[in-house]
Amino acid sequence: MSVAYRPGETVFHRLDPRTKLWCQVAIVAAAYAYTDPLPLVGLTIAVLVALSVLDLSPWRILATMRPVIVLLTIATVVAGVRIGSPWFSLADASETGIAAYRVLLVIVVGFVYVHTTPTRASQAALQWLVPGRIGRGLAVSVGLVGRFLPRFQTTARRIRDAMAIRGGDRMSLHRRIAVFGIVVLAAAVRDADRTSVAMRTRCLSWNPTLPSLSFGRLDYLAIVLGLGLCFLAIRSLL
Amino acid sequence: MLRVEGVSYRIDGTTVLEEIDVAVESGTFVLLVGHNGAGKTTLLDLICGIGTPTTGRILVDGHDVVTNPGPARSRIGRVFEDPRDQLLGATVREDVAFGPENLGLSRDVITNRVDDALSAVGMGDAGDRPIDSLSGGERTRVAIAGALAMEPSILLLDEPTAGLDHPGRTRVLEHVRRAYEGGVGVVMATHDLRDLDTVTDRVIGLEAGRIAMDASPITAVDHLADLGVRVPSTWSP
Repeated sequence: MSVAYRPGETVFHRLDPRTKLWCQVAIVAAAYAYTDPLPLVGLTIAVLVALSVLDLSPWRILATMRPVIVLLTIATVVAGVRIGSPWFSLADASETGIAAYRVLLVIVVGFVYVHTTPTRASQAALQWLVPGRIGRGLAVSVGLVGRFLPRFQTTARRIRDAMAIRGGDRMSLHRRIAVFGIVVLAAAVRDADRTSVAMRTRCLSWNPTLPSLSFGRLDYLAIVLGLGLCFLAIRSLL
Repeated sequence: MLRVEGVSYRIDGTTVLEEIDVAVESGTFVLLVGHNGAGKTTLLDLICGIGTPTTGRILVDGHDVVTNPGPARSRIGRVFEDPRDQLLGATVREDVAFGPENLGLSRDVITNRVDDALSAVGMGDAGDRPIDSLSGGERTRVAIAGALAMEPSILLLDEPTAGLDHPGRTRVLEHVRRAYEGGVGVVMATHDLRDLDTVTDRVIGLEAGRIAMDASPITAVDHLADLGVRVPSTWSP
């Protein structure tokens, strides 16, 4: 599954990108303020509802995020390991595990944003948020990353498949990671170069025509919800 | 109009292009032929400002591509050999709009240009399709649409039919031909001359970075085999 924009008519597609950015901030604040499992269950349900509205399978998203999940799992296990008896502390591991789970939720929320927002709309929102040259620079950077990432993701998937077809799955895990890492790194440099050449050839501009942004009724509702989440997050910290 | 004046290009001690002089009028169809490594892609790259000639200069409608790349590039439409290298949008419409948006045009003009360009390549109803769901031929057509949306005076195509099946190839050539008939100058690097005899005005042959031939299609026929190009039996310009 590509981490890229897909057109649609859902509630999330209709929201202004500034509202979506604000809601993301609110969700991140809430996720970090509440360390208990119960509020995280609530947040998980909200995320699952969002995925179901977008007709996205949580399992496919988790599959896309496999490398991140592996890293977070390793971090959780390492946090629980003790030198000396008892060799493993479940309390420490679960604390890190909850933190890792929050990271995962935040990434999925980011995925929902990317899936429902064209790159140009994100650029417009950023330029509105940070006016002037800095904003333009940020917007161009977002444009670059937004166009590079899906391409790189496709390349990485192709390399993985090519390795598997040529017996790569019979290599040891260590060797597989090493070979994949080297090839993917070279491909990343090549893809970055190609993206940059394509953007220059197609007249990359610091001041392109961006979509006009406007808040609708739905946006105000979402902003209020975001404010509520932020308020709860701040209250829990005080 | 495109003018390539005394262009040489050397990289890492290797001469890739040597003293290239070419002028292409708008509304002309030029085939660029030659063996692999003859310098065709490098020449097309230099024309759109990817890389700087070691000597010489390239002008597009009077604008130097090195010293004044903005106006020069906005007059060039480029289609890479692998269109995946140039598709930058998540959807077809987003991608075709990328160039016109960079020109700072109004939203209405952009919408019209995108609609016209997509219709011109027969993909008027594919605007919302994700780029990664397109076939090879469709990708090439979207790349051509992206180039046409810039309303270029010259279209540079690098092996646009490579790897396409017969229907895909026919469709791509049909859309290129339509752009040419609409007054756009076309420079097409290719090894495959099939179906191009009736449109080609001129054939330029490159050999080891030099112009080995610059002739009308009728005159060029006898020299094409020496340049690694197979002349189709139906070739009758």
